[in-house]
Amino acid sequence: MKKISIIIFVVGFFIPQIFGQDLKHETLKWNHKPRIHPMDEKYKDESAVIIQDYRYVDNAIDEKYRKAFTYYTEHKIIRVNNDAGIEKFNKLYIRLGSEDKLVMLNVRTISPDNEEKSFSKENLKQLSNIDGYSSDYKIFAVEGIVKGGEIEYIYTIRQPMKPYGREYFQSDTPTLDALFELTSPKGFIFASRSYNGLPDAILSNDRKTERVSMENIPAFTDDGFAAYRSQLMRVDYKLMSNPAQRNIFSWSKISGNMFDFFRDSRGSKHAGKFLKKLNLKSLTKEQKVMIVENAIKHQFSVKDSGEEEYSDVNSVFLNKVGNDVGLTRIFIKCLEQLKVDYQIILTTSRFRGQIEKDFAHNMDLQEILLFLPSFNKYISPSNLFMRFGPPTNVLAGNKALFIKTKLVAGTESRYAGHDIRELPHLDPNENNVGVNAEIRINDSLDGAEIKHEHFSQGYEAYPHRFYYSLGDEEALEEYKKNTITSAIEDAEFKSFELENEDMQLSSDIDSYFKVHSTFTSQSLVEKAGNDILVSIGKVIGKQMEMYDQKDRMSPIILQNVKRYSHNIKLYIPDGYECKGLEQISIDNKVLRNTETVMRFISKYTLKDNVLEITINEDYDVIDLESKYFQDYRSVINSAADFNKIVLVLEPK
Amino acid sequence: MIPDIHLDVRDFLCLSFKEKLDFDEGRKFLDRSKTQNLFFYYIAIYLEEPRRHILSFLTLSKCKPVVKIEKQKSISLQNMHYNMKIRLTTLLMGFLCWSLMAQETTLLEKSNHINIDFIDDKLQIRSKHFTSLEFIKDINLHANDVVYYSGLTPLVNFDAYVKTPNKKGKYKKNPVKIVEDKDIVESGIFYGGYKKKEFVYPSPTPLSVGVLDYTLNITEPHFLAPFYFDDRYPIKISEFTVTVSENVEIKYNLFNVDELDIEFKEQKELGKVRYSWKIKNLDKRIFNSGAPSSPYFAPHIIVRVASYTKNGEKINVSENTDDLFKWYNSLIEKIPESKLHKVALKVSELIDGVSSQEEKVKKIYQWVQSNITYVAFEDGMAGFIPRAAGNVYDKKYGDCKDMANLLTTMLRIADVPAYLTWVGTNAKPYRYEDVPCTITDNHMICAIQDNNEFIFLDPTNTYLEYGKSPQLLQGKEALVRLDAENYKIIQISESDYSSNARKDMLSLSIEGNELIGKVNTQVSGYIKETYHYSQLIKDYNNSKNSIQDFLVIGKKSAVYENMDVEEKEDQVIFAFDGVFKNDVIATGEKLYVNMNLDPSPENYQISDIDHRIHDIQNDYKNIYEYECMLQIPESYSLDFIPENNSVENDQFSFSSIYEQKGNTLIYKKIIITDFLFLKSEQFKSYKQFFTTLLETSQQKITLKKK
Repeated sequence: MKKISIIIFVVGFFIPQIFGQDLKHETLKWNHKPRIHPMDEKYKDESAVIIQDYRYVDNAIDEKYRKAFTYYTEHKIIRVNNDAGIEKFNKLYIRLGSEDKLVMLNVRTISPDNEEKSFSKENLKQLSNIDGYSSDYKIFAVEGIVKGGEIEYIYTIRQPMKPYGREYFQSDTPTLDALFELTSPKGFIFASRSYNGLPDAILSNDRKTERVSMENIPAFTDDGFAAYRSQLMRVDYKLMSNPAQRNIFSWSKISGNMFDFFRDSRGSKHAGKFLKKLNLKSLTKEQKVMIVENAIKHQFSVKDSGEEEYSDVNSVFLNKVGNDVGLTRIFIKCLEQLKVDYQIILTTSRFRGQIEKDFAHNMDLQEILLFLPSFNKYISPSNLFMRFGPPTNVLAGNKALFIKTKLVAGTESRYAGHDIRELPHLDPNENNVGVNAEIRINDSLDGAEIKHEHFSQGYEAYPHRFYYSLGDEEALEEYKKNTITSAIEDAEFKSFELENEDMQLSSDIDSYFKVHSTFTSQSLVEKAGNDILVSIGKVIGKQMEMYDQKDRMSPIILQNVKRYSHNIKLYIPDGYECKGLEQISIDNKVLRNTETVMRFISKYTLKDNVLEITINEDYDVIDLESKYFQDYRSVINSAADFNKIVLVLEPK
Repeated sequence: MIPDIHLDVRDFLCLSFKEKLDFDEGRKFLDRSKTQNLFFYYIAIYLEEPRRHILSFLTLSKCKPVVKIEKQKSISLQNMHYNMKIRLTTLLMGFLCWSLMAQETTLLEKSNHINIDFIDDKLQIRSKHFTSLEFIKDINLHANDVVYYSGLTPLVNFDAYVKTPNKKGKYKKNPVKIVEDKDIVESGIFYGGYKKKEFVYPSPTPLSVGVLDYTLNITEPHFLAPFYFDDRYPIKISEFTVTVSENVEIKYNLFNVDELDIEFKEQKELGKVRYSWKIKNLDKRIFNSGAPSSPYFAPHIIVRVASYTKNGEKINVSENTDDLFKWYNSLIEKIPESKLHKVALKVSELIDGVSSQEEKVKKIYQWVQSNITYVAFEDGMAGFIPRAAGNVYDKKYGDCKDMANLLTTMLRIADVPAYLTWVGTNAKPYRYEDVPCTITDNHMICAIQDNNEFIFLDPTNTYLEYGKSPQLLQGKEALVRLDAENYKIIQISESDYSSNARKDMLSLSIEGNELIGKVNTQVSGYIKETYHYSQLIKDYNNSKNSIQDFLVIGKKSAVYENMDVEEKEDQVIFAFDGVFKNDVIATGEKLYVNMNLDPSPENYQISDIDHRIHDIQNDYKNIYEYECMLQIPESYSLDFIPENNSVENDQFSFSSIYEQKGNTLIYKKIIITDFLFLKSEQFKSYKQFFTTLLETSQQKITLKKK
């Protein structure tokens, strides 16, 4: 989505008049006799402490260039207490966009006995276009840092005026003193919003400076299963108006821009040609869409790159390679040709955050989907294992910007407004997954044969299908061991068969992906004198354990809703009876208000020497407040406890 | 050769880069695909496996012989916090590209032609690479390709295109137009100066052929890279050729080609000699986890310029180890002067009042280990020439060469003879005598002499004890620079199993359905080193429970209380009170108790042993002793004890013994792994060993109500 940020910046303005202005970074002080800072005892066990974290976003009109610039300055002082602290902070990376310039850099370290070591500029290196990042980076390692010492650096980047930005002031290291200052020249108005307990900005009397400051920001660590970053204290800011334009960022403006960005007027010929080869005549529109999606996902390579040609509609058609923007554009071209209504959806992963209706900007528009209202289904353009149907699981349930379009004469489409609403996710009942197993103990009573069926549906099935349909033998072996017999170390497969593995079936929510297998295991059965012990819990595969996490601060976020249901039959050998059955009955749940939202329940029946166990483990919601954490943990651990169940068969 | 200083046991720290970017920028970081991640000399060794030791000390440590992927709850990867697309791309690139996808796509030709000329009294070396890849199915997953180069081996020619057959039996040529130049950030290397060209073959269709043709300028004869005949795809024809002027003499070594049919030719024409090695119909390279690096098993050739004749005089380049040393020494002599005043002050402060040489060495070694931070900062020849000691001292960071040079200098200031030493880690199978090339080593350390015995000091290993061989260098040859003219090749000793020991002692009683009691664990040697790294990682990640995760005594549901950790010079001792759940089954009359609370089965499992091809490389030899004493409750009597078990083998052994003493049942278990490499011939016996171990490890004793 690199390109998106560029397009929105086409908020042109002209410079009405030129006036002199003090540049903030030129007024900042660099203490010439630095001393190590006194530090409270309570921080002595921290790997590092950020003593000062000041950031200045100084927007200014530069007389020389007659242009609006942002001078971005960061001034930090960090105490490092141990090796981990040094490793975290001794290497620094300064990001530079293509038009950015590093105009100032000062780095030094102060040893515990106040010895200062400055940084030799020849060790400043540059990295350009690294994987995943198209920007340049200035990188360096600080010099002279030892345990108990301090790192101090200040740098300023000059860049074309940044219309929006986001500054995080909280991390997994405590910060003692944080400051954010945003200044704007006459005629420019910025708005800011603070999050997660960071105080709101205070506007100076001359209305030029927005200032946020805070002392003692505690460290915040990632609890896992959480939208970690979105919970950190931060400030978001954006340009509201410039001398030429007001309300620069509104959802409708963003939507209009985005439509123009994704919908290319070119490429129709290529699309026509591409579709012609697919022989789509006499099919329904829905069938056509599915075939087109399948064809694109088989013929086109996905390249995560900001290179312009990877998003150029003609180039993507010609070279059969594109990035997410490029692939979205060709999907749109094909939909136009097929005369299928579509909407462009922009959002972000639930694990990252969400857009806000009343504070429009495009910092949280990172993922693209297409929505086809006639079928009420979605396309994930660059996700090879998703198919026409629901939105990808980590996007589903999040708020999204729906950019509406309207088909007009011929094969054209136009922008037709926008909407912000939540993306639906599949129902728990459409995400069933589980194991049906039959265990037969062999005649010598030292091993068992297991007839095993693993089934999955919806979000649970998409990746399975993808791997199995592409896998070669080795990968399959590995995969088999990880999914089917993850808790049974010595399983030997006798048979193995897939059902419904075709990727296309992913569009059909009622189609279960199944793996049928038979395997033997010695370790499942053990003799203890005359008794036989059966590790029956292992049959459902290795389960996640959450014993060690005692508390948490973050709400729990799940990948997707799902329902496990397992059915296990144990054929008890003649002359034996089963003991220890009471372990099997487990029932733990999460009650939110009065509604059961998660549950693990296992039951058994014993009839004619056949023990039948049924397990239902349901996760019906995608997020849960942290106050329910203990209950959530008990549900998760129920499965892990079940995993450890050993039954005793005693001679009658 | 591009320096591949992958010596650091600290690869994980590259995470800081990833996290940092991710955090600062608020953008997704696309995990580097394996192609990019596995950058070793050019494209030649690009199939290298990722470094294992990161994993080995993050997840397994302890007494684990093999690396294994930790399994999650089914494959839905609940931990995936980012969206499916990233997961897709990472897995797709990383996993599929390299194992799944190679199904039918075939390299019709893979070749490397080295041309060595003698122009203007100088050697000029060009290395031309050519591949043609025939696409069959799942084409969009195979169409990515990449070319690596650096300032020392710049790219002088690059051409890539797709040939698509048309109906007339001819080919239509479709050139690659979009090529991205990228800097490479390699795991563990802060700055390396390596670059790559990344591209995707345009519009390939079934049976079309992707052609890649590029040439590197080898600026220094010592940087000639090996050629790997095989690849991630099956190959129809794989060919390596060298053309040299008649006055240039080359030498070569072939590796892992015994079972292959090589067609060798030597032709003379127009004052030149052309050597060629050709292999037809090669299978694709198979990767197994826990295997030694590719040079141990992949067929390859290493060519070196031995000498050339200039004005009737023979000039040696790399005919033998003497030549290599001479060149290395010339680099050492390029180390700039630096002011050593502060260094000398520090040395005298450290050894103040210390008289024995050993104590002096220990003090200085420990100081460098704990005060100089490892940061790999390579740039061109700086990848080969250590930085000046005074400079490293001031900066407080350096790569292996820098740290070795500082340590050597400090020791010398303290009047301890110390020597700069080149060495290859266990990723390198070569001996200097066979391959007197820069390819043979990838690391630099410091050596000292103690009563004619060499002791090797690796200051990049922060927690390595004095006198212990660095883990990755066990059994490897060290090239010790005695002075500007003299060197010695010494084999670094392998650490025996008894010096890497872990002993768990449990004293338990039964309370309800739980086992409770005191636990005492001692670890030494590399296991102790591993523990220290686990603590570093804990601090780095602000993680909790790191000691329980390290010890893994009892199931995860166990609770450790009153943890006491005593760090001694040669061992770390843990003492705590444990409550262990899920190990007692009560059925009215009887109690079944599992006394195996150790993590052995997990640690010793090699999950693909039935079908793996390659040997297994073990991090180190070790011994694990487990002793569990169980107080039998008064109202119960012992009803059943499992049989004692044992497996004896030269390389691995296991024994378990139950012994009743009064009211106490004592259970002992000893596991020894006495190998660094487990050959495939041994897999069958290893499986037997593991099966017995697994079986024993879940056996339960039975107690019956009196």
